[in-house]
Amino acid sequence: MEYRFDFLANVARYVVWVIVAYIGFLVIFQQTTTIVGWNKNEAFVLFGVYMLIDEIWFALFSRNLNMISEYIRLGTLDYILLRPVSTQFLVSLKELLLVSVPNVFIAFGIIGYYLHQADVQRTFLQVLIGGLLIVNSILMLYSIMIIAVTLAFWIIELKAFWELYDIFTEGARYPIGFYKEPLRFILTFIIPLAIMFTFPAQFLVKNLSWEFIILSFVVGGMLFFAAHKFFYFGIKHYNSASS
Amino acid sequence: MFNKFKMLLLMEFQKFGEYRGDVFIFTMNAIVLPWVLLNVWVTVAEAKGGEALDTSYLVQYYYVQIIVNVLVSSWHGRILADRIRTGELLMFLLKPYEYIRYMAANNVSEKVWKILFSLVALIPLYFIYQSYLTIPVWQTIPVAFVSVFLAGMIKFFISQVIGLAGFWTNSVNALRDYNEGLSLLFSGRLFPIQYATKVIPEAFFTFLPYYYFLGFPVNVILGHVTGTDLWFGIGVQCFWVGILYGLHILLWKKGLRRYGGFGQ
Amino acid sequence: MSVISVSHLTKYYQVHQKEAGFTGSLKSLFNRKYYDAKAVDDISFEIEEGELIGFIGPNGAGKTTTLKCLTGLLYPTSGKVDVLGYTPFERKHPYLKQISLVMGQKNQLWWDLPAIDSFLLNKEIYEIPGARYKKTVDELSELLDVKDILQVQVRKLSLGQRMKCELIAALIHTPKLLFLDEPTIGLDVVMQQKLRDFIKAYNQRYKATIILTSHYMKDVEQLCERVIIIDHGKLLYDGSLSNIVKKYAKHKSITVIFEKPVAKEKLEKLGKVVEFEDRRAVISMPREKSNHVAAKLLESFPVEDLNIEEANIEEIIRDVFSNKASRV
Repeated sequence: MEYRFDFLANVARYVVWVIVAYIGFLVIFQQTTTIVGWNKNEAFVLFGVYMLIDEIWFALFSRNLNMISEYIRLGTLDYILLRPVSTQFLVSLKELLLVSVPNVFIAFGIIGYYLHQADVQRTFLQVLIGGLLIVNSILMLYSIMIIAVTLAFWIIELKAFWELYDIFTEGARYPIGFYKEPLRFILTFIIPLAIMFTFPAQFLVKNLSWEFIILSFVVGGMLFFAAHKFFYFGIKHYNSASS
Repeated sequence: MFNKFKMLLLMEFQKFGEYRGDVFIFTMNAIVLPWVLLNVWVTVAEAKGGEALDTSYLVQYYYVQIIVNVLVSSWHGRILADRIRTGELLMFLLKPYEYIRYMAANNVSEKVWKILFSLVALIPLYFIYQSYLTIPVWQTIPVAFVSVFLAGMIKFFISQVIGLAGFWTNSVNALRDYNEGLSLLFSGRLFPIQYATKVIPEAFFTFLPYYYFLGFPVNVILGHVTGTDLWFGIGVQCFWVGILYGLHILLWKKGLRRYGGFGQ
Repeated sequence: MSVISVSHLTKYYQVHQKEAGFTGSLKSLFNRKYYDAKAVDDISFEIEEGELIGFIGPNGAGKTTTLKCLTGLLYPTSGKVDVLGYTPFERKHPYLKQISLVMGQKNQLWWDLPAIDSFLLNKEIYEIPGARYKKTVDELSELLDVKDILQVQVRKLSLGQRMKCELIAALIHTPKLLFLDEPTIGLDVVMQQKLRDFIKAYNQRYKATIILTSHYMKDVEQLCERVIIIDHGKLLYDGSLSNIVKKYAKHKSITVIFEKPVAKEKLEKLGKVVEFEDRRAVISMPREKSNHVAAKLLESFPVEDLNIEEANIEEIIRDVFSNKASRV
């Protein structure tokens, strides 16, 4: 019962944030109707995609990945290492935060509504591919954060890993075309927000040539693999340092 | 008298040093958003075309905003709320030294560390945007200094007042989040407020304290506020410092009474 | 004049009453109901300079509440509290400079810095002259044997080491009045003993008045001549420790060691057999019968050794509390 209240409070907080971001967009698109090929409704689809990915990240991984540096600092990682299950799997999905489930629906609502407003017709296959691109983005985000959090094996005294997530995704609300060099370079090649956020939204509202779709999945797969390898490299370091 | 604060400052400074990695990340986090928005607004200006939006003003606005934002940052409210919740505050109440001074020392140290770290971003950003940036006119410097100082006071007491809410509620975090959301809209952080008047009624900027701790001092530094507007703005800043200071005194007194009246 | 004078001190806590369920918590947001919980109920006592007094009582009896009223952390509901001529809750600086409170579960030391930094801060805050500060810290760290850990970050210290440093930090300004709330909680036996020795020594050396609350009767037994017993917020007893035994102990026990095993049933005729092993037994009986029982034992059993003991003070106090509880 107590946490039905938390549930509502969390939704209320989320709605306030959505409104704040919405007004932010309004102010920009009140200046001019189209910005580097994006109109207001299309930009809101991207915003919805960002919200969706952000909330799913929050529900699945946010808390769990934050805890990793805690395990390392308190030495409780040893118990997890002894379990006969993949360590990465276990620490990544230990505990789910279901409070953000309503927010996921709100994000779906935003995407649906503005796709409709933008007058976009999509076939089932296109929606499916769009969905897969979003899943791919979540895995990319997850992989990037796994790499960041794995650094905790070396920098034990650092606690604010979750802040890195904010730093990485700060530019995710706007299409990559909105950025000038050198920020555009960084958000394309270093923290590939272009692939994670702009591509799926662009696929949904306009079109994305199939090379970019394939590129998305290839980069996603490579990142996932790299994160996996790096995580176990970190554990190896941990084992040799602590024994 | 001065020795007490000096020692306190020294200790706070060292304490921040223990968490320098975290402080560094916090500082960077506060810098990324204005940098992103700088890019967005320059693109918007280009899309709109003509002289309607001044690109070099926008670049200057966000560059200076990064600096002002660091100078007015205040996170001690969170510490205060934690200390109220855990009862750790009791140990401070038995000292012959006002608690607000501990917070002041914390705040000064926070600013010094954040200023140091923000140079890591400010210097490269300076070279990137060199062609847009100009040295401010020297006449504006004294008044800019006053305005930033008052802005810092406003932010300090807002943080303090939110922290003091911990005497009444356990969800200070939610309160902080809402305040954060409002401040994004009304302080001039998301957009220079003069571009938003068609979307947000001007009264929200004039009658809330938010604009006066960020957008206003930035515009003062840029020499964008002059004459009566300038003195009116500084007057409003003083007004908010007074109101928030009074509120802090009131809540502190009431809160302590209440703290002493409840079981823990 | 007394250092502390308390008359008819009463402290009610307002406790927030929450209705169950979601609507309940919504309702309570706007319309909170409170009920009063009596934490301290009409207590009066006086404490003289230099006394070392123990506050005893079960959990939630009102010890800590009383202590908080005396230090000025809590505002009394009614009654008069006068400490060193001040009204504690006003927390005037000249008053705060003469007292100190150590709580076993709360720290004043800065967690991330060496203890010596916290000492130095206190030196400034309490305006202690350099020479006096140095003398006090030297003396205290000598007494507590912590000289070599003062430069170590507090978070890296063990619980016992931290407690010792907490004590020093609390004593930098050599307070006239020292409140110790569960100072030995969580410490091992050796460390507990060290702290007790220190408290005693401090009391004697500085003629300080010390008020101590503790769960551990050993603390009180070794340190305090006078104890104040509080239960359910009421003052149950105020007087010397030895008088408690006379007043409340109704039993004595005899420990006997026999030359060869004896039958338990035979012993049971003499009193209640509390412990029984092969050749050793502990028998409990009313005080007045103890001599008689001892004589009987020597007379009719192969006794190797025999010892008459007063009941353990902890048991007496437990008896007092449980009697009180059963009477109410």
